[in-house]
Amino acid sequence: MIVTEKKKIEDILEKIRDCKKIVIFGCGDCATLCKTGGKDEVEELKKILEDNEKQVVYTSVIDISCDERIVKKELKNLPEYDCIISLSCGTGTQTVGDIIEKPVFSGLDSKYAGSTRRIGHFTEKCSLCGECIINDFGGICPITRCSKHLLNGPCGGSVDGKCEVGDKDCAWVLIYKRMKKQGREKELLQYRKPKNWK
Amino acid sequence: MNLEQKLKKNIFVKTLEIVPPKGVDVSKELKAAKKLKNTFDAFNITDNQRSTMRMSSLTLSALFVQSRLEPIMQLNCRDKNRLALQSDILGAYPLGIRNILAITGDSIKTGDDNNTRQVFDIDSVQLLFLTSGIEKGTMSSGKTISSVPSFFKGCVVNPNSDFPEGQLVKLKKKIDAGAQFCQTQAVFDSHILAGFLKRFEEFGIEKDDVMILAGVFILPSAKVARFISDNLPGNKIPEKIIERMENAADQKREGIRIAQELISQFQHEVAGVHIMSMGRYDHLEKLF
Repeated sequence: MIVTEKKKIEDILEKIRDCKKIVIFGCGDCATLCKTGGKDEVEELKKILEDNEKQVVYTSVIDISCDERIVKKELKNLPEYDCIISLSCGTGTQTVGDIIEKPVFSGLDSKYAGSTRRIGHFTEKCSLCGECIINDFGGICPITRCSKHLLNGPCGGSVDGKCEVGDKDCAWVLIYKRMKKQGREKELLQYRKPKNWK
Repeated sequence: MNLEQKLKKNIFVKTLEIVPPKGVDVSKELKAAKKLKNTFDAFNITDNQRSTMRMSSLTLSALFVQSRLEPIMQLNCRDKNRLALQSDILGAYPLGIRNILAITGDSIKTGDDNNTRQVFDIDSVQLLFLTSGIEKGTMSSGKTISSVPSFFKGCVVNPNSDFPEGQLVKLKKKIDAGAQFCQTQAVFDSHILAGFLKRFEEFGIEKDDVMILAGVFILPSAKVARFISDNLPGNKIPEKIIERMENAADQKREGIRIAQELISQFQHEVAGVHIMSMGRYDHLEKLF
């Protein structure tokens, strides 16, 4: 799932400064699961905009904002409006923006592809970076889960299994432990050439 | 004799960390190094250490060469991609730089402008591998290099890590990728270093595979000791050393004394020492 966070409302209001009639779209997929772009969040934003003297002329939660076919249907028969605020990830917002001519602003920041631990709590797992290398690392991605993207071993900064920055687990402690458990830790001694970033 | 020749002759070497200025005036660094020319065998010029922007390691290293001082040019993987790093490696050679130290680099979050995008296109093992490739005439793209340099190549390791297996796996790979010497993070307890060295064999590292320079930190005050221990990733200062600093009448002198004791303990374990003094260079001529 693409994990998103809400942008600051002041930043959104600044962007739509010259717009009066606003359309708000949520997304029924990841942003709903993240509680950043579901029905409740669309309603919440609507109220804030109305409190700031904007006219919200239409709202909808698009089933999947990154599916052009679904978005095209949704965009038919919109009332007159000045701009759209999209509560979805960067892909969803761009999907809308590439179809219409009026301004589309994102109400969310796209953080990463992650898994859900419990509602509102996510773990960063994937950077969608092309050539997937997790098979060589016990299924744990060092590009995403090591803050320095290290492929040949850890830096010297982890303490008690935690990364030197932030409170996330050190990916290399996880990789080593899992490989050792599977009796494959010797494989980590093989040189890993620089990644193909294409 | 240069650093490499001395190490190959089993001469116990001493290197000093030099922190480039946050400006264009290099007189402090050159003056200090000239004064310490007979105390140290080489000067290790840091590369935006702790993710703090300073004059480039390449430039200050070249200025050291001009002043007949032997530099070790640090290169970190945080600030440059593989093209820029290889380009600096080629550029260093005609300027007379012969020692390179490949490091990963501290995370940008420890630095003074943490909105910066960190690169980490390659890691320190790959940087050593690419440097060795350049020496053999091939760049990362696989294309041929018209004329090749030759360097004395170094790496770093952290004996204080509570995940020593990770450090040792990586050190083995660094050696295989071409590292000839290895400087350690500051060590404040000789037992920690000895325990770490003892595990080399387990990871296929022979004693003669790499020349170890033990990191020795000159503590300027008890306050700094406490700060380092609490805030710098990968550094561990035993409480008894911090207490010794706190109780000392002259903390600066006590810091030197602690370093001297550590150096004498390390002398029979390793090939040399690397002194870190946070850009303070006074009193160091009395260190050995």
